[in-house]
Order: sequence, then structure tokens, then C-alpha cells
Amino acid sequence: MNLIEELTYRELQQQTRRHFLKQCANGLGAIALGSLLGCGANSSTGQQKVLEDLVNKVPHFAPKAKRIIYLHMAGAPSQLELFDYKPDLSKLDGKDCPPSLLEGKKFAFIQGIPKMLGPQAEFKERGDSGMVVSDLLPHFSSMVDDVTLIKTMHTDEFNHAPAQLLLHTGSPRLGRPSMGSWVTYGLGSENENLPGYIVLVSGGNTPDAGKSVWGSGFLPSVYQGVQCRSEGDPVLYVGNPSGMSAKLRKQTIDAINGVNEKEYKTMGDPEILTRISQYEMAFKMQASVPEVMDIKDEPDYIHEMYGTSPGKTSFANNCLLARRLLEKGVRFVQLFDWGWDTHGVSERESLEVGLRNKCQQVDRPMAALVKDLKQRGLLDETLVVWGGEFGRTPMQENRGGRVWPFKGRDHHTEAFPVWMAGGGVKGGFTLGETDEIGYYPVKDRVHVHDLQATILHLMGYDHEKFTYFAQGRDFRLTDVSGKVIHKIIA
Amino acid sequence: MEQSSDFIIFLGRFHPLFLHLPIGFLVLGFLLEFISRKEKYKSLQPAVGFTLLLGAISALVTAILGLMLATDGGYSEDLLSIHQWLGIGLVIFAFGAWWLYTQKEKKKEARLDKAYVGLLSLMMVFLAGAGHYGGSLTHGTNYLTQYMPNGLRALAGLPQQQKGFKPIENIEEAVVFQEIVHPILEMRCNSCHNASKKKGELQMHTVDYLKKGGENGPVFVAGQPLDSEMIKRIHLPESDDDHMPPKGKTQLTPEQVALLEWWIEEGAPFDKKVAELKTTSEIDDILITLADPDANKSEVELLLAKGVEEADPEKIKEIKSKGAMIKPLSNKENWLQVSISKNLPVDELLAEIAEAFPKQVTWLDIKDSPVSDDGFAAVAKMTNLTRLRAEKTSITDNAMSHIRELPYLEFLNIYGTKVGDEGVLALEDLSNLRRLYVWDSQVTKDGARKLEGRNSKLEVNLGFEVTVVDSLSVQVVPVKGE
Repeated sequence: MNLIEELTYRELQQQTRRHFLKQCANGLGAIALGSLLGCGANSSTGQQKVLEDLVNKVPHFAPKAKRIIYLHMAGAPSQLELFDYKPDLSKLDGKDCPPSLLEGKKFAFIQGIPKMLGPQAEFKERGDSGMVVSDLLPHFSSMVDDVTLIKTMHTDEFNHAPAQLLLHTGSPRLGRPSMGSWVTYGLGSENENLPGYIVLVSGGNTPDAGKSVWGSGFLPSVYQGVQCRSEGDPVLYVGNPSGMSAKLRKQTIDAINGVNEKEYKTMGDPEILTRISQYEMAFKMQASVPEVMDIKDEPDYIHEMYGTSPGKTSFANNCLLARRLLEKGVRFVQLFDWGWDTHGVSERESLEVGLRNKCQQVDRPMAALVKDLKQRGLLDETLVVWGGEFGRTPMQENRGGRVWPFKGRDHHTEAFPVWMAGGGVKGGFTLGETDEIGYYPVKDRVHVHDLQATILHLMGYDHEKFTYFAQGRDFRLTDVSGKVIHKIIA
Repeated sequence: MEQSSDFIIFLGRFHPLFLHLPIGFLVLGFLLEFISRKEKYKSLQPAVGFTLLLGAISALVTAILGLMLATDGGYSEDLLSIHQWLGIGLVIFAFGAWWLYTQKEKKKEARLDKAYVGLLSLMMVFLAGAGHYGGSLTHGTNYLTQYMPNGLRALAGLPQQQKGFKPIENIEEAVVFQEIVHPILEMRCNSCHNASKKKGELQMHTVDYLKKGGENGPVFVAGQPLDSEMIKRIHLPESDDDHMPPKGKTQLTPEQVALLEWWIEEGAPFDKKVAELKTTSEIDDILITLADPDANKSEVELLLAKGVEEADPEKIKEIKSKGAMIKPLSNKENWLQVSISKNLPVDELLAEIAEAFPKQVTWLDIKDSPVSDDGFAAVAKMTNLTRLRAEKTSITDNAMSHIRELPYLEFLNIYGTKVGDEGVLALEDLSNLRRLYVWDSQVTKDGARKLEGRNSKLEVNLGFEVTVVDSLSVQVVPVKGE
């Protein structure tokens, strides 16, 4: 007997007739109430309910965005080289950081007194709106008039995994549902042959927080993000092994689902319904996924626009796939691109080389994505969000008190950028200002919970009323805070 | 010392809780007294004394708690002293009435009974008075009359009240404080910061008091909205104890906050007009709504805000059972969004929908479907249609001539169809059309330019032109009708 069993046994021994009677009283009361409220023969069965829930979701108010694509640059891109131009910082380049910026601060790697580091890129005003963007993003610069740029995001966490969790699940610890799960839970699916929430990963690594950033937490697991690959089988093991025909597969699944349905009738556990619908979904995906994931049939000029090469894993391919998935009615497409953690401790992690390479990899496809959505008339109701999990310091990183051969910046929680396009946000609009060195926001500070509240608002949900009961209380994506940023809504 | 005064206030805050006891007991005693004079209810008579005694004792406790609460301060001296003396009077009269009652029962003298009835009536007057002034202290003096219908107001001799929104006629000439800022403060701040109730030692009902500030100093710093106590508190999370207006009260709208910030930013002048201050385009947009609340709203937004009657749920169910996706835009409205997927008999379903609930459908998605030009005759009957997605279908110019009179159509996607210039030019009278997607159709740059010329608010999207520059870069520029 193991410890748990022993505990259960002991507890049962303590149960008396008094407990039994007390519980009976509650139960009888509940049964009486149930029949009074008229549940029973007339109400729909659990299975119908779950299935209806998936298609018949109606939001709190008319949504501006029906679908989302979230481009997450895992590792945190440097705002000071991309979106937040600070000419005053170049004057301070190489000088000691004033102690006022260091007092009471915690950094991931900076020790002692670091040197200030000026911007490592040139900036210009772009488009009709005059949004200031660096030369590292030439393609993005050509579409700024469709973009809202928030320069003053801030977060509570200065390490990758907790910051990514906070951004995507509303909590820096494991166990909460991700934004995509909330959105698919709220709005259901538009395509019964594809999952409502799909995740694509590029850059060679999954984000530091692992698969929890697209987990469903305590929501039914139907709402979990499904990771697809752009190289090889899109979904591992979704194809039939040799010797297994589609017909045999169908029969197998029908038999399993039959057993599960019987089990559900006796036990009434909603997770059994999830299991049944997952088997159904997997079978449908055997046909639908390879079709939607095959980008070979796209015309040449589309490949040129995105810079894609079929059969490889790249951010560009993922952007094109994202557009195809959105066209098919997938509700939430989440892209992660790894490799933005420019500390300056190696060439790959440097501002001079690493950051430039990353920019080259994402600039063209992300601009192509927005433009392609636009020409298809999808951008009006599709929200595109781009950003990292935090920002980077105006000081040069001095890990271990050393001077490193490359230039880099440490993690910084106080100011980082996020841009959004389509889905009911303004075009050519910049929100917020930071101080002369980009250290603190001085106007329109936006917390990650505010961003989440705004995304839910655009999808038609009041983030304070959009809750799920678990572990004895109601939970929401924005925990106990978050304010909708009305200024960016068109 | 500090602690004992805190404890007194703690007890004092039970005053509003306790005060309901003497009201109940004393009114009951009064009623019992008069009812029991009838032969039929004579048996109730002995209860009067007991009820009055309970009333008197609870009135005494309430009065003591009330005096404790008064040490907290923040109330208008005048109102408070009236309330206080009425309350103390009430306690004395309640005990007096009880005492006279016992005497009268013992001696059975007519003179005593007269005095008893007189005192009992006087007690009721004091009870009403103390209750009323107590209410005025907590809820403000105009609490009772605030929502009085204008007819009754005329009878009571009160000024008539403008119902709801009061537009400012000439916004440029409006005095910013008097006509814009003050009404906001009046609506959201004055119920706790006024002549009779000054929470946090702050009164905001006159210019002088507003300038004076409260126990935490001035309310605003001219030119520095973010350093102004008022603005700081508005921006605190609602759960914060210092957040204003307090949790549970109606909050300021983002527009109202922007106006307050703008006024302070511009130096918080009390006599300047709108025309004399600098405005941003954001503030301008808000200011127009003060003259006309619908100024920034399009006809389509007004239509959707107006709402529509509910469509027959049985009909919805019936058409849904044939495969069409039909659902309301949100759980608060009856507007419907409909999408019909590619494997369904679209034309027939559209005809059925146009028959069953033509007015309610406002978003329609028939992309990638086998819809025919004739099917659009049904679409034309959906008079409140605002968004139509019909891309990647085989429709032609004929389909467009069907929908040339849809008054509210705002968004039309016909990319990847066979519609040409003639088709889209038929749409020139659609004054609400804002976005038209015609990439990969027969529409030419020329046609697009002509249409944009006839409807200046319309944006026609012809897609993008892709030119490869080198292996790392391409030029992707919008196809423009110029």
C-alpha cells in the first residue's frame, strides 16, 4: 500500500454514521433542487453540450477581430535597435551607468557598474505616419501605416520562462491556460476539420517556458494548442503507418469512441468527451492537415513575397502557413521564433551579427504576412501581434564582470515594444513614450495584462467577465488586473 | 490616543446599521397604539409599552454610536448639527412617551393620555426629521429629488432638469471649466465632495474649494496632469483603496479622463474658452462628441447601435439544421452573422434566409462557395447587410447589379471573382462602402480609380505588386489606380 492509498484508507476509517447522514442530506437536497430546476429529461446531454459549446460560442459584444496570429520573438528583441530611437543614448555610449538606474534593480546578468551602450542601428521616419523604425527592418518599414506600435510595454518577470508564461497565460507560474486556449474556449472553432489553436515553432528551439505557453491549463484539453511542424510530417504520428488503411483506422476509432461513449454514460466525466472529440479530430486531421500544410501549390510571387522555401523549417514558411490556416478558419495561430536573446556573449547572441540575422529572417515574411492578409481582405478581422517577452537594457551586458568581444544587452522589464496590425487597431499609430535612454516609460505605460485585456476586448470579450471555474474559484486570463487600452482601438 | 479614536470610529460605523432598529420599533409602537384603540385589535394594547421601551433603548444606543461616528469628520457642520439634535430629541421623546404610557396605564387619567399622544406624535416628527437629515448626510442633499420626474418637480417648485445628454452648441466658444470639466466633476465626484459631505476634507463643488484641495493637498498641479492627485488616483487600479471614484461607483469614461488631463495639461484655466487652448486631434474628436454625441459615428455604427428585433428562433434553428452557420454578433444583440460553407446549396439557403429574417443578417460570409449571380437577388433583400465576403466565387458583374442598393454595405470582398469594372462601378451609390477588395478579379486600375473618384471615402484594394530586388529583399508595393 502506498502513502496515498494508506491516507485514503485511514480517512475512510474515520467516517462515521454521522458523516454519512450529513452527506445524504446534502445529496437529497441537491436532487430535489435539480428536479425543481427542471434538469433531466429535457436538458441536452453532456456530449451535445460540449459539441454545441465548440460551435455556438457568442461573445459579450460584437468582435472587431475574429482571428489572431501572434508572432512571438522568443528571447526578447532589443527595442533600442528596432523601434525605440534614443539619440541621447549614443552620447552616453561607453560611459559608466549612473547608480540611480541600478539602485534596487535586479538584472539577469549585469553586475557592478555596467557601461551605457548607444543604439547599434540607424533610424528613420517611415510612411505617412512618420513612425520611427530602424534600418534593420526595411520591409516592415514599408507597412507602418497599417501598424499600431506600443513602445511602453512592461512586465513583472526578468527571466525568459516566467516572462513568457506571464505574457501568454497571465501568470508567471505553470498551470494556467494560454491566451490561445482562452480565445478558442471563448469563440469556438470555425473549421471542424482543424484544431482551433495551432502553434508553429522556428529558430531551432522551443521557447524557454516549453509547451506550457500553449497549454490549456485547467480548461478542457480540447482547447490546447496543437503544434505543427513545417518540415516532415506536419503533426507527428498523424499519418497512418504502413499496413493501416484509412478504412481500418476509421473502424478502430469508431470502436474506441463507442467504448468511450459507454464509459461517459456511466461516469459523466467531461474529459471523456474531450477524448472522443480528439479521436474524431485526429482522424479528420489526417486529411486536412497535410493539405493545408503543403505550401508547394502557392504561386511563385507569394513565395517571393514571403521569402519561403518549401520543405524547410523557417519563420517565413510558418508565416505563410499561418495565413493558410487563418484562411481555413483556424481561430488562433501562435508562432514562436527562437534566438533573439542578444546578450553579446557570442556572435550569434550579438547585436552586430546575431540580431541582424534574426531581423533578416523575420522582416520580409512578417511584412508579407500583413500585406497578404490585407489583399485578401482578411486583415480587417484578423489581429496580428508581434513582440517579445520583455525588453533589453540601455546598458551593455558585462556578464561575470568581463568585457565581451561582442555588443549585447541584458534583460529589461520596464520598457519593450509590441506592434499590432488589423483586427480593429489603429494604423500608423505609436502609443507611449520612454525616457531619453529608453529605460522607463514616461507616458502611457502598458502592462502585459493590459495587452491581454485589449486582445480579449478586440475578440468581443470583457476580460473581467470572461472566467472559468477551477480549483474552487473563478479564474481569468488577466488575473486581477488589466485595463483595455482604448487609445489603440480604431 | 490614536488607537482609542480609531476604535471609536470603528464602533461609530455601526451607526448606519443600528439606526434601523429604533425606526422599526418606534414606528411599530406608534402604529400599535392607534390600531389597538379599535375594539377589534384591543388585545395588542399591552405590547405598546414594551415596543416603545425597545425603541427608546435602541434609539439611545444609535445616538451614542452616531456621536462616535461624527468624530470621524468629513460631514457638513450645519447638516450634522441638525441631525444630531433631532436624534438626541428623539431619544428623549421616546423615553418620555414610554414613561407617559406607563403612567397613563397606572392612573387612567384623560389628561395624561392627551400628553402621551402629543408626545408620541412629536416623537414621530423627530424620527422623520432625524432620518431625513441622516440620509442627506450619507447620500447628498439632492439624493431624493435627483430622478424626480419633471412634472413633480414643477409641483415641488424645483428647477426643471435636462434629461440625459445636454449638447454644447458652440464648442469653440464653450468655457472649458464651466461647460466641460465642471459637469464631469459634478457627475462623478460631487456626490462625496460637496457642501454637505467632504470626504478626505475635499470639496469640489465650487472653484474655490477645488483650488483649495483636500487633506492630501491640492487636487491638481496646473500643467502637470500626471503629477496631479486627481489624475493619479483615477489611474490607480480600481481595487486600490485610493482609487477614485471608489470601487462600485460609476467610473469615468476614458474620454472624460482625457478631457480632465487635457484641461490640467493646458494649465487648468477657469475662464478660458476651447478656442484659446491647444488641442490634439484626439481631444478634438472627443470635443465634437460634446456637441453631437454621434459626430464620430458612421451610419453603419448608428444602425448597429440601434439594434433590431429578434429573428424567429424556430426559423434560425431550421436553417441551421441545413448546415448554415448562424449566430448573433454578441449575446447582447439580435444582429446575425451567417456563413455558408462551400459544400452547401448556397443559393437556396440564401433565398430561405432572405425570406425568414432579411433584416437581421448584417455579416454574411459566402466565400469559396458555389453561389451564382442569381443567388445575389436574395442577398439584395438583406437590407441591413454591412459586411459581405464573397471572395473566390464565380460571380460576375451581374451579381453586383443586384446589390447596388444595399444602403449600409461597408465592407465587400470579391477578390478572386470574375467581377470587372462595370460591376464595381454599379456600386457607386453605396455611400457607406469603405473597403472593397478586388485583387485577382477583372477590375482594372482604371475602374478602381473611377470608383474611388465617385466615393471619396472608399478604399479599393487591388493587391500588391511583387518585384524581386535581390536574394534578401523584395519590393512589395500596393497596386494603385493612378
